[in-house]
Amino acid sequence: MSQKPIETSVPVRAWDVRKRRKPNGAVLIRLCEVFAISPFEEQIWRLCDGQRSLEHLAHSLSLPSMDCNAAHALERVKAAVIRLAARGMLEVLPAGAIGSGSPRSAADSKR
Amino acid sequence: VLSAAQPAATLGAGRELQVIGSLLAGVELETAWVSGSLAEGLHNASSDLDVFVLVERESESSNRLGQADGSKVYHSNANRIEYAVWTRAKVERLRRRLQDAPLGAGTKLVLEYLTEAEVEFLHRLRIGQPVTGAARFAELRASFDFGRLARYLFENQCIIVDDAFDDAVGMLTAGAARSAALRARYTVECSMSLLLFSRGVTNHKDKHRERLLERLRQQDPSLETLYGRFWGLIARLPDTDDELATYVRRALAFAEEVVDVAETD
Repeated sequence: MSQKPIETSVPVRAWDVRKRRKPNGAVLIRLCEVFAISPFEEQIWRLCDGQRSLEHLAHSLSLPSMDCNAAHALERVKAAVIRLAARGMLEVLPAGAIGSGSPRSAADSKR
Repeated sequence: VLSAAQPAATLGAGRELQVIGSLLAGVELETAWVSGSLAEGLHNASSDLDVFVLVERESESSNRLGQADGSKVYHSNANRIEYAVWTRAKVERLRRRLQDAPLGAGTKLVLEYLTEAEVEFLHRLRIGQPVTGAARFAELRASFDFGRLARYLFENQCIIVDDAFDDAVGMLTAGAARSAALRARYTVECSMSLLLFSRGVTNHKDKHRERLLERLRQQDPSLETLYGRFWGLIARLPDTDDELATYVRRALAFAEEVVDVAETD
């Protein structure tokens, strides 16, 4: 049985949005629009480089520390991605839309 | 004036130090130090040698060097030497201002809270080498929190990066692709300065960014890949509007990654 499209889709950060750390937590900013995000959403945001599907995101987000099984983790990731996408902070692309030519993240480079 | 521990050998500016010594002779001062790109190993043939003089108060002898207001005086008989005379009271005010700077508040109140001359004084005190009054110089330097200076520069640079980022977004959205590309490239450059400040660098001169990044990469080779991408972005701009739009998006995405790294430090 084939998977639902959302699980294999690839979220990518909107090009015109920046994330900043504020004293009370992280926010996403598009010009004058400010959107507060949770620490979990911030983790997701950092990983949305156009390379990872939702399944990959769920796997990357330290599942053991989430104290939940894989299916539950995927549901949490999906809910967060849908919330961010609804505000236009993320674009959700079909799998393979960006491909392997995207640059590695600076965080990866640092590691 | 020049002590046995004079920095002539380390600075490679023996002739200039002799000139400084003769000019400072007879001046009632607490300490004096040389600084600038030469002291930091960032100099070239056109570099000046900056001399800072701390006096208890303005006097006839100190006025021979220049007004005790921190402004620079060019010494025409030695075309590589600039002087700045600071009084003890002015330095103490600056120490308090740095201590009271509204850091961590997440507001724009911090933007240019310190003047250019003050930031320069602080950095050059940090990297300076005394030519007289070494003990007083050490005491003076120890009285400043340079980690706080780096944090101040970091928070200022965040605001500059944000403004440049938003400019580029607005310009591209309005169809001004070339302006947006130039602004996006500037955003990338500013983000790399932000990375330097996050690592404690307090030299805020753009002209030294490359050399400072080179040093940072020597300390942390894991930054090589990041630097390679940085150079690739700033070295070439495309020509067509479509390519420019893609460039803007890539450049802004890269700047965001650098900010994320810097914020994590």
